[in-house]
Amino acid sequence: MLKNQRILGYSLIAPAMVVIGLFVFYPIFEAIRLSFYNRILTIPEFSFVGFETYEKLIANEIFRRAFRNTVIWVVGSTVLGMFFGGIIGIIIAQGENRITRFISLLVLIPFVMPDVVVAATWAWIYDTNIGILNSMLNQMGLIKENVDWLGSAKLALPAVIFVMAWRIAPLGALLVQSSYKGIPLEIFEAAEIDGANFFAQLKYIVLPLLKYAIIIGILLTMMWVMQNLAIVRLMTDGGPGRTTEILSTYVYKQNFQYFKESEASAASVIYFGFLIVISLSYLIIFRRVWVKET
Amino acid sequence: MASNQRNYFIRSITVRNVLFWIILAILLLGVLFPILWLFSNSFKNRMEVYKIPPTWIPKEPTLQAYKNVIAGVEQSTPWPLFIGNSIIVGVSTSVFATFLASLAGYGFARFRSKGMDAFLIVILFALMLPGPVIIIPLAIIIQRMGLYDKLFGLILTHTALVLPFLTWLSVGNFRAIPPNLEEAALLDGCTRMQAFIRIVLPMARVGLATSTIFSFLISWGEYPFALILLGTREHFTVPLGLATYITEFNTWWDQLAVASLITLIPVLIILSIAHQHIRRGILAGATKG
Repeated sequence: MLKNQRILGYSLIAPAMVVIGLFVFYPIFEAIRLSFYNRILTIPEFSFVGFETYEKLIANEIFRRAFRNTVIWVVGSTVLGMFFGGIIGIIIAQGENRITRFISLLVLIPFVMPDVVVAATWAWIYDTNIGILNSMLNQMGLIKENVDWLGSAKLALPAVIFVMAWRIAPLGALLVQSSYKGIPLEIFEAAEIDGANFFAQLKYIVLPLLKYAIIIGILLTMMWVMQNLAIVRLMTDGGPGRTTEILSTYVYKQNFQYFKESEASAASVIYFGFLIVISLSYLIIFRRVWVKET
Repeated sequence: MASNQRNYFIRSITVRNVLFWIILAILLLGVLFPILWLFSNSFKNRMEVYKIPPTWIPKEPTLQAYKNVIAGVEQSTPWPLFIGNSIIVGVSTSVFATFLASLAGYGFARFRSKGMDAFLIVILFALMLPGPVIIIPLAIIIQRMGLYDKLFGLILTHTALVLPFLTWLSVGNFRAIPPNLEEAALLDGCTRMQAFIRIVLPMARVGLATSTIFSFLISWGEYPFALILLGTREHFTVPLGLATYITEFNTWWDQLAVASLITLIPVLIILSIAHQHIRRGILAGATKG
């Protein structure tokens, strides 16, 4: 009986495990294996070269820039997104009625919008001539000449970072809002009686109590940003002059444009390592919160 | 009663209210103005779309762009076909993935052992793997299986992409259902299968709906894998169709606006109907996963 139960349990999870194994884990091993070869798609012969591909990559100026850009891209859009999202979350949590509920629905829109729509719309807003951003800034008298937001080496990366922040802010808003609602009212009442003003309450009550929500939000958002290939690829495709190249677009190009399979694989393995660091810190912090709560 | 519960944060009631609505209005505008922009431009004629400076309200509203997109003129972009493909892929993915995830979630929730818990950690690990890392080998694997440029290949890929998350949702979902109900049914002579179908599934329906909605939304908007797995236009999904407007030589902004709205509308409909499911899913992913 007990043995049958165990077999039943394993056979229930088997189909899902097979699909995940075949389409998620096997590709990773395959990427790691390929990274130790010098395979180029257009050349039939290839051989085992150990860490040579990695050494080549690390010496490569464009790869190094892509790595640096990835850090800026991930950290920048996460911090910006969590900041705006957090503010929205706290504000929505202030009232609890039909209107705030409707607004919390609207706020989710950027998060559920397909990447392609986000990229297309923002590329248009940023457009030098017919973009609404330049036209608005012009009317306000903030700029004299139209700015080529996505075509400028200096502005392109901040511009795409802003779009990503816009896209993921709802995640921060949702997390902050839901854990803000968990703060007992008495704490605010007590602070009120003690004469704590808005900023004092924010500093001494809200932020400390939301600490874990914010940390988890940051890590989760970072993971989301790292998954994202479409925004940069469609808006700038790494340009101008590879100034917005990030690891995911780099991997994509190395493989599907230059056919350097092994280099692309090695770059994706490095990317993977980067992600594991973030994921592991998420797991560790999450465990600590979870253990604390239960 | 609930309406004034949270108001201790800022003191004066009037200041609080006025400030509250002003800030909220600004934020909302910030969130929504790209969509308003799309909406306004979808009714402009081509001359006006390219007008400098751009305008918010179309002077001569027209449905020409809608007609062009639906007819697929100028760009050989058959939108009805793209939408059909996306619906096929999205629905198959959500049915397939929700089914697999429910089986696995039920297994993980009810048959706990050290070995099972180890597999659950494997799922958790898969949850965090990034698309860009597996995209190259996956392209090779799909090609080897003879599934390149086939919708079925994309369905399998999307299923695999959403499955870790859905399984995780599903474990939490089934754990929340008390096992003694099924045990009672088993004692009454039901088989496990009957107990599962008659007692557990109805109680799990909110969770099942959440996971169906999530997998459909992800599949509907997914771009990078569709890009490398599909080759011919007849097999394109909606995001790929939309991308052809952006990347090819000339951007047809008026048609782009319409196409973007077509892509966006199902998402907005789902969001307005299943708002609570989506929130629950995101929060479950964040707090339990």
